[in-house]
Amino acid sequence: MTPPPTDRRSVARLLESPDQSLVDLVDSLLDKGVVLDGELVLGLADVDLVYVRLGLVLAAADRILPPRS
Amino acid sequence: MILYLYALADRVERLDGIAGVGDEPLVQIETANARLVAGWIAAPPAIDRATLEAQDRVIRALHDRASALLPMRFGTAVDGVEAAVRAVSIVARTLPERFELVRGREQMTVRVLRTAGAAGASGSLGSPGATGATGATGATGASYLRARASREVPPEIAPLVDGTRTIARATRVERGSSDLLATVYQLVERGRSAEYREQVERIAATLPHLRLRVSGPSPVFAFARD
Repeated sequence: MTPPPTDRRSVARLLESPDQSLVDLVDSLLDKGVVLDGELVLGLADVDLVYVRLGLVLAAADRILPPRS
Repeated sequence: MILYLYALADRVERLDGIAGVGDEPLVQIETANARLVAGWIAAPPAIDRATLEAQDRVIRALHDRASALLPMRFGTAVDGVEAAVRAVSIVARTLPERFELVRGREQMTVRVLRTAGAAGASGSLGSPGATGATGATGATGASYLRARASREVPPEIAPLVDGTRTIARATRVERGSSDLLATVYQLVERGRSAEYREQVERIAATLPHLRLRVSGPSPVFAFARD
């Protein structure tokens, strides 16, 4: 059975899981840090700036974390 | 080949023994007001757990060797040294102040969670007197900025911010969603993280409706942007 959205997005659940450290990684590396201006910079990296900024924990965690039953 | 950018530092003593996410040797590039630490790699790194962990290891190793280090956002790359210098030149004017803020310091992170028995999502927007979205829109200049900033600080976390004032050198708060009330990022002097944790534990004992999850110390990711 698919858990309800609120449960699936529960931060507490993530933080209590073995993936707690991954939450910090995603938050730090994908959402923080120096942002250099200029399309060339991030465009060449093949990492969509929009994805990085808006995807944040939800999209990134969905992609990285193993599926939950 | 692309030049993959890891961090800006005031200076890094040595880079030996530190390999990049592609196991490449790191180089230092002299730019205006900063040294840029980078590595030549064949292709952009994938966004997966192993690569994130690899980049985290690189940044932590660099942080240990630099008194002031500003990590780059994951995935930042340019096509050569000239492009890197040009990109850094855009932010160069702000770098001395940013280095000064983080010099000799490390980041602690506190995630403030509502417990099951706590009231639902807070409908209040910031401290008493703070305007809501409509009010803030009507404000101008400094009053607008103050209103906007106050909305990011839920009143429930005031005891945490106040209680860590003597040890925290800078604080950034991001309002959360769902059961995450807010994330509090604070800078402390390097070596004082244990003392910080103890202080947060004491504060947590006085906040039965909240759960405080502390992580760190880490490089100063949340303070790297201007």
